[in-house]
Amino acid sequence: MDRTLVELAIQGDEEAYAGLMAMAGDRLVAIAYRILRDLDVAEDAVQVALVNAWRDLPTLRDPDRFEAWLTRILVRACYAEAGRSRRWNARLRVLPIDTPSPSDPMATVADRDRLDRGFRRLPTDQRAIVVLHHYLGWSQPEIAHALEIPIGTVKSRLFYATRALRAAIDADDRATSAERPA
Amino acid sequence: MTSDTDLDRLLQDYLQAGPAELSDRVLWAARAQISTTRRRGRLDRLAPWREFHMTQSTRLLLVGGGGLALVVAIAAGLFSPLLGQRTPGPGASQMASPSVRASVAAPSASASASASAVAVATPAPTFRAPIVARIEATDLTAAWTVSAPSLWTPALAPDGRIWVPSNASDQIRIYDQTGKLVEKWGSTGSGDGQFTFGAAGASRNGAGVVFAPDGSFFVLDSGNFRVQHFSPDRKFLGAFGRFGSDPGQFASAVAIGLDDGGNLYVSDEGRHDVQVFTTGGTYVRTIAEGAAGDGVWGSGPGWFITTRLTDGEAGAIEYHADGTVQGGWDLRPWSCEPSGVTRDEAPRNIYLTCPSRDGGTGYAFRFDQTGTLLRVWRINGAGIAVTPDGTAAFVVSDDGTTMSRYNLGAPEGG
Repeated sequence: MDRTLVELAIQGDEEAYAGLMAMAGDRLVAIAYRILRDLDVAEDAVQVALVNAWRDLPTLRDPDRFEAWLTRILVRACYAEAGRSRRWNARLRVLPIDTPSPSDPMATVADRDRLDRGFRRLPTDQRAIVVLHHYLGWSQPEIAHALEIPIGTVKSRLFYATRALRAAIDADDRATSAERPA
Repeated sequence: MTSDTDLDRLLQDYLQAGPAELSDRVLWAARAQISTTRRRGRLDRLAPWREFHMTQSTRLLLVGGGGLALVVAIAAGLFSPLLGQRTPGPGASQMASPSVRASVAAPSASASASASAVAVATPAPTFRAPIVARIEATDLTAAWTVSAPSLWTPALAPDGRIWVPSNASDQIRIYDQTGKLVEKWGSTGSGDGQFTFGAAGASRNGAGVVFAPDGSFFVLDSGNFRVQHFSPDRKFLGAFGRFGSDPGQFASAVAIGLDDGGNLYVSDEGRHDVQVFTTGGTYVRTIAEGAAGDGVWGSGPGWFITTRLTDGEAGAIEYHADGTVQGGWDLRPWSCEPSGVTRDEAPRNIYLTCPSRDGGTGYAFRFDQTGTLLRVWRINGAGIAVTPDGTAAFVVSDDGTTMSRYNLGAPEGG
């Protein structure tokens, strides 16, 4: 990321920040989509993150950390957007959790689809860690530093996510085996 | 069993698919918003947040009642420059549009008129989904019980010990997991690191401790009308708050909570609201007016739940820190008074206590993070803390005379 642009944006240069948005936008929506698994919601999260980042930019002390800092703001925006769609509202208690239909022909479901179902069941904070680790390739300390959370939290979220994903796949395997004719 | 290598490969393949670019529509919309967005100042983070604290005698005078509200207003107006009166951060004024601004619930109009900050007028939530007893309540025997006077809400420290404030001694009693009292920390007073949990003159005061992820902790020092912040090794770091009805001030604070997003919540039964602060002590906004209860706890990043008992409506409400009402639990069918609320770390279930109204049966509820009722126990308790894995709860009795450990078993979602 262009340090000069970041410094200008910190000082309030909207054009400089527009340049940063254009440079970072594709990466941000890629991350948000992978966490939220819904393009509309992901775009909302990116928009919120870009506005929040502009508001908070004067508090960024190290321009070289802009990318990690912006990622943290995006992840928090993803939490909020996921919360909005996850939570029940005052009128309706909905449980927008994707679960496989009992009529799904499990025997024909590919590994990727099994993983997708398992991934969508994960809490958003676990999804975020999985995406940062497996998609961006960040190490656990890098994630902890960027998100400003303890390394132990990163490890536990990754542990629970991995365990849940493996369980989802293995459970589907068992279900598939059970449904196959002898 | 899927191997680690297979799972890694599957994950990397799975995460490859996705949108290639951000649409111009989003960039345009963000840019339009930015042009009207006020920026946060550097001083927000750097400004010292140590505040003036009233002397005990001054405070007692002001607690006296609504008839003295004018004195409050005059005093605040005349002396605020000298007292270092907090004004809301620049972020606060941009968070609510003029159409939704309203004054906080104040003892008198003249007092609230001096408020320069903003509170979000939150419509009184209505309960649409009463919880019907589809799940049989089960009895639970305490693994151990300790007795002490005037206990309030317990908190689980990072080392696994249970901290519970006692209004009788203005101390925090620290127990290990076996119920052994290992320490009593704190002393009565209004100095740095001293507490006055139950001040004379105030209608009701609570006390609470909440630990931040960095190991530092906040103590709701309600009798001194402030929140104190301590380092993990208990060094005094700062304090914020004073008596009053203006934003950032406290009247009869009863509970403190912290969410994953770094928002601090203080529930105040005197003001009948919940105020949101940053962990740096900066006032953010006032929400949940009329809905504040004994308990308040962060339920997710930017989310919190407060228990409610107003005008016969017994339940708990979940809010976003921006004031949005998300929903709640109607507990009226259970004939109990919602009190404590907390959450475990994984699988992030939510726990509510609801002691009896009339000396009958009280309950503790476990909900999953989507609000679905999972379990009900017959526990007549108020303040509650749970272990990070949700397998045990530490519950202070409704009369504040005992604290018990209950082994809850593995959470359903775990």
